Amino acid sequence: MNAVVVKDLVKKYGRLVAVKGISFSFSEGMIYGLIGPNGAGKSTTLRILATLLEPTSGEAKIFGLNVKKDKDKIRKIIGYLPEEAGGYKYLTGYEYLEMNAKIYSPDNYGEVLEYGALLTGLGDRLYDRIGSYSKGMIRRLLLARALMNKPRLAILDEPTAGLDVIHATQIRRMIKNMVNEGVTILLSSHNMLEVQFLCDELSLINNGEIVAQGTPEDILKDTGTDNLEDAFMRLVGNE
Amino acid sequence: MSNLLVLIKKELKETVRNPRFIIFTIILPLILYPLMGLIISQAFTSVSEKTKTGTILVVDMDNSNISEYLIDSLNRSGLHVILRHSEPNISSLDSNVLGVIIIPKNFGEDFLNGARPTVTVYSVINGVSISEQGLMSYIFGIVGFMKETLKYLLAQMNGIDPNLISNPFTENRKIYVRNWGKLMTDQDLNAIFMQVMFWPWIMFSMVISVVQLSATFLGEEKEQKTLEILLTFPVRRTTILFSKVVGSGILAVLAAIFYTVGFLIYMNSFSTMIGQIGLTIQLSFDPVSIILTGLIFFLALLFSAALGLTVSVIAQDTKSAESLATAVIMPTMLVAFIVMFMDISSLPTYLQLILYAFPYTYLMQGLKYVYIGRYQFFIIGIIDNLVAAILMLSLISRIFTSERILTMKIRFGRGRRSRLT
Repeated sequence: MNAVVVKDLVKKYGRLVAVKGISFSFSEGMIYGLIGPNGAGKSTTLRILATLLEPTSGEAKIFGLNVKKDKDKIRKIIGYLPEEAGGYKYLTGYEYLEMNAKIYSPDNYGEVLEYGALLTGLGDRLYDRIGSYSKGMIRRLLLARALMNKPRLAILDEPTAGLDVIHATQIRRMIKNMVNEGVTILLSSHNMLEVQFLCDELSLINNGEIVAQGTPEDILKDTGTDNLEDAFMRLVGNE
Repeated sequence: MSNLLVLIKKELKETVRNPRFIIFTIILPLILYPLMGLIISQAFTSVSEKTKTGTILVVDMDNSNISEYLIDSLNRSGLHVILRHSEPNISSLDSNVLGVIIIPKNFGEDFLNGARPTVTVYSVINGVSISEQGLMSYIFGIVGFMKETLKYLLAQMNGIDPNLISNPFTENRKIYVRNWGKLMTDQDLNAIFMQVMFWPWIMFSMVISVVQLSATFLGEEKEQKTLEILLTFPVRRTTILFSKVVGSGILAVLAAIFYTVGFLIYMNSFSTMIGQIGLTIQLSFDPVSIILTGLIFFLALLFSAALGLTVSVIAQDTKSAESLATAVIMPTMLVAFIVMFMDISSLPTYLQLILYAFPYTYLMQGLKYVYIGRYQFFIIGIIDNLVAAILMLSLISRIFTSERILTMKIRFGRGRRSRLT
C-alpha cells in the first residue's frame, strides 16, 4: 500500500510560490527522502503532509487519507519532528514524554512512555529540565517523542541538522531501527550523503520543483556521478 | 578610522532595528508624551476656564458694613459673585457654582472686637482628580484674599502695619463632591486623593504584566517550534486554544487574587490612617463591592490575557511579542493619566463614550466608585469587560483554527518595515 501520494502539489505564500506542482509517492515500510538546498520547498511539503498548512492546489494523501479533509485522522497516525525545534525548558524530558504518551496512547501510556524513555537514551538526564539539555539531547528527545507511539508515518524535517557526528549517527541509527518496528519514514535533508546512507528512495527538489526521483543508485547511474551532491549539482546545471 | 566607522555603523544598525528602540525611543517620546502633556494642559485649561465663568455664592447673614465691604472687594476683583442672605441647599446648587462662602451673623461686630469670627466655606467640585483639586485650591485662595482685605482694612482703621495682624477670621472648610453627592472635609478628600492618584498606575502595571506574560506564552512556543508539534497532536485546535485560554485564565485569576489582596492591604493602610487622624468619610467597602471589583479585575485580566495571546499570534518570536504587547498596551497609560488628572464626567459626551468603551477605564476609575458604593458603574464595567474579552477570544479562536497561526507574522527590524504575511 502507498504510504504517501502527492500529486501536483502547489503552495503559495502571497506572491511567493514555495512548491510548484510536485508529485511523488512511496510504499509503506520505506524510508523516503526529500532532498534539496535550503528554501527548496522541502519543509513546506512536510508541513502540508503534517496537516499544519493547507495546499493551495493539488492533492496529498497519507495511507489514503486526504490532508485537507481528514486532518484529525491523519494526526492520529503520524509523528512529526519540525526542523530545529526546541522543547519546553521548564518541563523535564520525562514530563514531556509523559504528556505525549497520555495524548497519543491514553490506554497504555505507561508502556509507551517506557519505550519513549528508552529511545531517548538520555538515562537519568531525562529527569532534568529540558532547558539544561544540549542541542543533541533535545533532538533525541524530540525524535523519541515523534516515534515512541510507533506512528504509521514519521515525518522528520532535517532530523540531524546542526548536530555533531556522534549525535547525528545516533539519530540515523534510531531512524533505521524504527523501520523494523513498522514505521514508515519521510524525511527531509540538505545533507545528501546522509540521505544516500538512509533512504530507500528519494526526490531531489530545487526551487519548489522535483528535478529527479528514484533510488539513490538509479539517480547516481542516470547522472553518471558517484555521490548525490555531484548528482544534484549536475541536475540543477551548476556544474 | 575606517574600522571604527564600520563598527559604529554595525552598532547603529543593531540598535535602530531593535523593536524596543522603536517603541521606547520613538513611539513613546513622539506620541505618548505629547499626548500626556495635552491631557495635563487640557486639565488645567479647563480649571482656568471654570474659574473665569464659574460663580461664587456669598451668603451674607451679617449685613454689616464689614461684610458689605468684603463682598464689594470680591466684586471689584472681577469674580462672579452672587449674593444671598439665606443658606442654600448645597446638594442642589447650579452646576456653575464653584463655591459657597457663608458670612455668619455678628461677623462685623466680632471682627471689630477682635473676637475672630468663623466663616464657613464650601468648595463645590465635580469629582476627585488633580484638576478638581485645583478648583478647590482656587476657592480657598479666595478666602485668603478676603483675609488680606480685612487685614488692610483693620490696619488702616488703627494706623498700624497690616503685617502685624495675623488672622482676622477663621474658616471652616468643607468640600462637596457633586458626582458623589458627598460632603467631606479637605482632610477626607486629601486621603482619598492620595489613593486615587496612585491607583491607575497600580492597575496599569498589573495589566501590562499580564499582557506581556501571555504574549510570551505563545511567542515562546512559536520561537521554539513547540507550537508546530502541539498543532499536530490528535487533538482539536479549539481544545489546544482552550488550554491556552484556561492557562491564561488561571494566570488572570491568580493575578486578580494577589492584586485584590494587595488592594485590601492598601485600603486598610489608608483606613488606619483615616482612623488615626479622625477623618469622617466612611469607606463603603462591603462584600458586594469586593465581589464586583474582583469580577472587574478578573474580566479585565482575561481580556488582557486574550489580548496578549492575540498579539503573540501575529508576532514571530518572544521579543517581537513582548515589544508588540508593550506597544498595544501603551494607550492604557493615557487612560491612567486622564483618570488621574481629569474628571471623566466633565469631558464631552463622545469622549466619555470612547473612554467607557475601553475596558480598562472601569478598572482604573473603579476605586473612586468604591467610596460611594455606586454599583451600576461596576455592572456596566463587568458587561463591557465581558464583551471585550469574548470579542478578543473569538478573534484569536478564528486565527488559531487556521494556518495563519503559523504564517501570520510581524517581525520588527531586519527590513525597512514590519512584515505581515
